[in-house]
Amino acid sequence: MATAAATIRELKPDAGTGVSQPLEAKPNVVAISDSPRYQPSRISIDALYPDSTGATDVFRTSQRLLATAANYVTESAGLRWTDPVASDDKMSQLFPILLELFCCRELGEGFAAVINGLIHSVRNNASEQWDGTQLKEVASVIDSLRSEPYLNLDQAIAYLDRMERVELVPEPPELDILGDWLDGQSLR
Amino acid sequence: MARAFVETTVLVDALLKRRSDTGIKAIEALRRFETTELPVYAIKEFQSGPLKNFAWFHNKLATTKSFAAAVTALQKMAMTPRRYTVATALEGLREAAEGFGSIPVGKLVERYGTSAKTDSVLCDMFRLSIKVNMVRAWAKRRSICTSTVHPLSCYSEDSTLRQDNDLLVVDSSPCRGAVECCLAGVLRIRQDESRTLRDVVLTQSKKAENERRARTLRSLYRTPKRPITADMCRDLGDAYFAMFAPADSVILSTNLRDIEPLASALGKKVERP
Repeated sequence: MATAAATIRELKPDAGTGVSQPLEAKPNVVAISDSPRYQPSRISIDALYPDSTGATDVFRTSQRLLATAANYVTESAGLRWTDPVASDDKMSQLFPILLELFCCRELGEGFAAVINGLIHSVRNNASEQWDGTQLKEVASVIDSLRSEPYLNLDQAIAYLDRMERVELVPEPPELDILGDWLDGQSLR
Repeated sequence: MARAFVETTVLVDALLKRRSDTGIKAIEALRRFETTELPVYAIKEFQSGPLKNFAWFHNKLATTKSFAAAVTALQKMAMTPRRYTVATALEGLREAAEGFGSIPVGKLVERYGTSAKTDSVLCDMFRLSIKVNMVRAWAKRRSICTSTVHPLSCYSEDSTLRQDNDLLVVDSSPCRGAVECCLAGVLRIRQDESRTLRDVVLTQSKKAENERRARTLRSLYRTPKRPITADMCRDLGDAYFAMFAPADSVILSTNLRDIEPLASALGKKVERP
């Protein structure tokens, strides 16, 4: 009687045609993870949620706004050497987009914390010229948030740490006042 | 001097107020010393003071869902900011509200409802910033100094900060149910120091904290067989740092007014960051 193992045929894609060809029966089982056909690949967020399928309004709005935000930062970076005023203006235009994104905070606390960090980074940097590293980091955070909007707080803190590493300040300056008020020296 | 014994105020400034002038000074001071030792007692005070206060304000924002209402509640607690007057602090917070209030939110409110109103937006912005600050501070508490010293076996940090639905809970009774404080044995053999420190405390300002401290110090040498409770341990406060700082170290604190007389009485030095 033929064993189950003997009936298993490994399918291997033909190098020339890409069509899988049956091989001779082998007594071993090949794990999916070993097969080149099943290697993980990244699916873009646009392919995952094309226009109207399955996603909530808030999710779709956040995706649209994040795409707009990413464009502003990319354009700002592109104009940095040729037209610094226009470059800075693009970052100013980013601010209301971020505020609207904060209205999508029902997507989760991690999402809200990162958007909050971006809002305050832009606000606190308003009187400074953005440097290339900062723009690159902001663009990278927005891209990451676009492909993985559902974050926990620890993941969000990692994003905020990235912003801080390029000298951005992702928190309200008024936190200093609250800290002074709540620091335990002023207990009644 | 190359060795610092870090007191709670410096820990708080370095962790929770790292962007303020005091926070920057605290972090710079910690870098200046070759060895910085953080006693677990400072972590315990950090938990029962500032961390608890931050959680209280976070929860006030979470429950009122209004920045204005939470700031009003803060004002009613009759706490006074350390560096600012109440009026200046309120003005600063009001300016934050005005900064965001200048942005037209009419269309956003139409689209997103009340969560787009300025007061609601500010409420969640500050709530999230406070939460991030607290979580990060608690995570870094043991890495801010070169070593954490003088462990307290009856104090547990395991469930200090946790989330309960939208609220942050700071454990209000972190001392395990031991019959008496783990410091009891050491405190009983330091009766002379307790007496010296009590004499100093009696010359200090007549605030409730000092009265409790004097009572506890007196109890240590007058009734040494009496169990030393968690409350007595807490009441030691500044006296703990004067008593337990190594002789070749300097106590790093912003509270020189209270700690310096105590430390001097035991021949120890105190330095402000």
